[in-house]
Amino acid sequence: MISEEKFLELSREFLVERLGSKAEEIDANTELVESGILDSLMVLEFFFFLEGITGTAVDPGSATVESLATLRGAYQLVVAA
Amino acid sequence: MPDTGTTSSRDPWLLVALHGYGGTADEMIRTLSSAAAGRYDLVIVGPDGPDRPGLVPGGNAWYPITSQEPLIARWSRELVPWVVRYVEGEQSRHAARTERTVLVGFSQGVSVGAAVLDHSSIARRAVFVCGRPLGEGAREREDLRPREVLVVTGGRDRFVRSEDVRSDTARRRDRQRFAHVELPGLGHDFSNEVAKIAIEHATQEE
Repeated sequence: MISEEKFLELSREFLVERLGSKAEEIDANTELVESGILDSLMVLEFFFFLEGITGTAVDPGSATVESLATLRGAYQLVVAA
Repeated sequence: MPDTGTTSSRDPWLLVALHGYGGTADEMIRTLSSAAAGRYDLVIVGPDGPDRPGLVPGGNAWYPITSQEPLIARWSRELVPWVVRYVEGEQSRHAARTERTVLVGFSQGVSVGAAVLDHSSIARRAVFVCGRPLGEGAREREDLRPREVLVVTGGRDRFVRSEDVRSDTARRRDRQRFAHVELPGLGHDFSNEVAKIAIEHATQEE
């Protein structure tokens, strides 16, 4: 099981690679969707990134925009997979 | 409508749009209709997928989002009877024959369309855009023709890599049916350019 600390590190790397410097300040509670950091396509890309971390399917019923609103919320999806 | 006679070039082409995750049939139909402006020999229809996508509120989906290929293949196969019923209804409504019925799939709609080709004879041709034609492929049948399925991928697609799609088609029993074109500038998008290519391929007379 990946630790939350490691998950946050990998997620930040993923987001910085795609979004550049605006992703550098993201922390566990930064609002990702309403703030516009993640657009609709990036939400999907981020979801596939999560599946890559878990190596399995994320529970379809839990995959909602709200669940990806913050990295802390996204980590809960990873833990539950 | 079952094929009970010869196909006339005056029979309508029936294009069945199968949208992607978070999309709608209307969006695809609009794009295809715009690309088909001036053509009176085709009818463009499409259903909305039965699932509601949690990551794209307001849209439709065929199945929950995942990158897990076995799940995609299984869920797509389970949708075949649903899609076949829809297409049969449209064929009956528009007096369109199987010979001139073409599936046009985008993204998730590609895996669904490929499953329909594999497990039914409801359509002969297809155009698959930015998606994975997973599955073993249709068993050998006399009516299958080379290159009747056009697969379009984008060099700038962030979700579907051309090499993965090439592997999908190479693994299929009916791989001779498939032709593949990669558009270097295309992202994950059912663009006007793609719609024109789709219509051109779909409506070629043999």
